Amino acid sequence: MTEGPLLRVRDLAVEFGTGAAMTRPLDGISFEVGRGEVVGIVGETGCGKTLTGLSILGILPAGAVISRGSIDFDGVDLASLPSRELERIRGRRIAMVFQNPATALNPVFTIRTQIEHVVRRHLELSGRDIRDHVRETLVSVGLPETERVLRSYPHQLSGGMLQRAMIAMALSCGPELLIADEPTTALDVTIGAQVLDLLRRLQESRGFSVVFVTHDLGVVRTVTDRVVVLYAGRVAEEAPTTDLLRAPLHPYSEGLIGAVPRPDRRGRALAMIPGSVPTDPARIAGCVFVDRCPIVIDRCRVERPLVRPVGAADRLVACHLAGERTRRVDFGADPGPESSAAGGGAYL
Amino acid sequence: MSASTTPSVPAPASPLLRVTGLGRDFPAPGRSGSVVHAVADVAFEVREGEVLGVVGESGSGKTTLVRCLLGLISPTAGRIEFAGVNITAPAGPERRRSRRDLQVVFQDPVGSLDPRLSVRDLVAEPLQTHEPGIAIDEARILSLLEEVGLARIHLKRRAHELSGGQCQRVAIARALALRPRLVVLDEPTSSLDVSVQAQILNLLSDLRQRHGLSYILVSHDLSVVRHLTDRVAVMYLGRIVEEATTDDLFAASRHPYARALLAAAPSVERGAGAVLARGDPPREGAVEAGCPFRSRCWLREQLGQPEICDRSAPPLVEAPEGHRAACHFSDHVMDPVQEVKS
Repeated sequence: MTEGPLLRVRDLAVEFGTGAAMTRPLDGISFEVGRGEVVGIVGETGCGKTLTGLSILGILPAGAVISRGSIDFDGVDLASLPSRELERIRGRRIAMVFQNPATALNPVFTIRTQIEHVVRRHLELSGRDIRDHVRETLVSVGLPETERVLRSYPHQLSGGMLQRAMIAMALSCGPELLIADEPTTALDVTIGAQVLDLLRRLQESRGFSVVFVTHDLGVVRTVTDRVVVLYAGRVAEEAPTTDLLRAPLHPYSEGLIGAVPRPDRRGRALAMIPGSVPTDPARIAGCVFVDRCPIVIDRCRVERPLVRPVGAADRLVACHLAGERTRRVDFGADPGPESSAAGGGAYL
Repeated sequence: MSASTTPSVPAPASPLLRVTGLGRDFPAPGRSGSVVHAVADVAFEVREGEVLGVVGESGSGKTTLVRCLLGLISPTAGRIEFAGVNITAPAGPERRRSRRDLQVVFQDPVGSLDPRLSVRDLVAEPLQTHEPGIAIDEARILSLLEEVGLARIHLKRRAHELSGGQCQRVAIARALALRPRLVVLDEPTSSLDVSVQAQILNLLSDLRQRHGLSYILVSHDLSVVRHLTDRVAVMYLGRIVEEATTDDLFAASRHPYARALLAAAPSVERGAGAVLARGDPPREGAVEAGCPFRSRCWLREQLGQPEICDRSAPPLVEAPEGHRAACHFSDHVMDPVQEVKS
C-alpha cells in the first residue's frame, strides 16, 4: 500500500475502570500522519498525549482499554489487531523513543545485546550479519566510539549517548513510523539540541514518519510539520505548525502560546489560563475547556464542539466560536510596551 | 496590600550580596586523594532590587553554588557577604541572623512542603521559628496567601490536595513570610506546565515590583531567565564563564559556550538554531590545564586550534558595561557564528 496517509487515528477513546469509577483520559481523538510527515502532539500534563503514543504502539498501561475508535496503520487496524500480530509490527514498522533512556533501556544488558535482540527478532539476519547491522546502525546515528558504546551498560553512558543509542535501536529495523515521546526533555540544552538535530537529519534522509509528543512549543517549532493540540483528552485544534504558532484559533492554544516567555514579552505579564484541567472530562456535556475559557457562550455548556475546518481545509478547530470572532482572547497578558510604560516600566 | 517593609526604591551602590573567590571541592569518586572542583573561584554581586540569573547545564555547579549561598554546605574557599556581613560559615551567628532576609524557593513544589502540615501551618512555620513567643497573626497568614493568589479555602488543605502550581505558591508564601530582601529561586518552574509556569512568573514579577525584592534565579531554561532577569551569569564546569546584562548576553555573547547554549535552546519564534557545542562535557576532574570548554569549543576549531587554549585557562576579563567573559578570543565569538549559519 502506498496510497493515503500512513497512520489514520479515528475517534480513539481510552478508558480506565468501569461504572462510577470509569475515567476516559482519551475521548474521541482523530488525526492523520502522512508518509514522511512529522506530526506533533502537544498539550499539558494529563491531556492524553503520552497515552496517544502508547495506544498506537499497543502498550497501554494495565487497566486501560481502547473503548472506541480505530488506528489504521497502512491499512491494518492496530486497535483490533491480535497481540501476536501487533508484535510483528511494533519494533519493526513502528518504533519508539522515550523520554528517559536510562529507564527505558535494561540496566543489566549491554547496548549491543539489547539492539541485537531487536534485530534478531525482526530481521532475517544471523551471526555476523546481525553484528555488522548493529554496528552500522550505531555509526549512522553519529555515535563516536562505536565499539565502546556497544560494550557499555546503560549506566556507563551519558544521557545524550544513551538517547542516541536508543534512537539507533529504534531505527535498527528501518521503521516507517517513529513515536518519539519527549525525547529531549530529560537532556541538557546543548545535548538536547544535538539529539533534535540528529532526529531531524535522520528523518529527512530516511523519510520515515514521526509522531512527536512534547509539551515544548519551541521543540514543536523545530521539528514538526503539523501539530495536534490536545486538551483534556480531546483534540482542541490541528494545524500546520507555523500557522498554529502565528495564529491559533482555539482559545486554549491561544492561552498556551501566550504563556510562553519570549524576547518580545520580556518582563511583561504572560497569558494566564485561569483554573485547572478538569479531573473528569468524560462527564462534561459541552466543551471541556468551558470552565477556563474567557469567551464562553451558552451553547458551549450544552453542546460539545466538533472538530471542523475553519478558514482553510488544513485548519481544524473544536470551538463553536472559531471563525466568528476577530479579536484575541484576553488571558491577562500585557499586550505591549505602550501599556507597560504606564505601569512604571520597572523591568526594562 | 501593605506587607512591604522597604519601599521599592533602587538602593545605593553597596551590593546586597557579594560573593568572592567561592569554591567548593568534593572528593573525587573512586580516586582517593583527588578532588572535584564543583564550584571554583566564583565571584558575583547582586544589588538591591536586582534579579540575577544563574544558568548552566548538569555539572555546571549551580546546585552546589545554591547550597553554599543558603548555608546548607560550607564552601572550601572564598567568602559570602550579605548586606555587608560575612555569612560564609553555615553555622555562624551572622548566618542565622541573615536567614530572615535570605530565603529560597526550590524546584519540587510538592516535595519541599511537609505533607503532614496544613497550608496554614506551612506558612506559619517560618514565623514561629523566627519570632518565637509571638502569637501568630492569622490575618497576616491569610494576607500572605492572598498575596500569592491563594484564598481562605486553601488554609486547611495539605500539599497532596493542591496542584503543583498551588504548592509552588505556598512555597513562595513561606519564603515571603519573613519579608526577605533576597530570594533564591532554584528552578522554580521546571516541574510545572507552561500555563502554570506563566502564572508563577507573573506572580514573581509582581512580588518583586511590590516589595523591591532581589532574586537569584537559577535555571536551565533560557526563556525563563531572559524573561525575569536583569543580569545573567553563565556557568560551565563550576566556573562563571560569562556574565552580562541580560540584553547584552542574548544580543552579543562573548563566550563560545554561552553562545552555543543560547543557539541550542529551541524557541517558539525561530525553532532551534545551530548546534555549536559538540559532544558531552568532560567527566568531573578531567580538566587539568587550559580552557575547560576547549574539548567542545567550536570557536577554537574555527580559529585553527590555537595553542593558548590548551595551555592556559582564560581569566574572567571585564569588557565595557561590566560584561565579563572567560575566553582568550571573546572578540571573535559573535563574528564566526554568522559564517557558520550561512
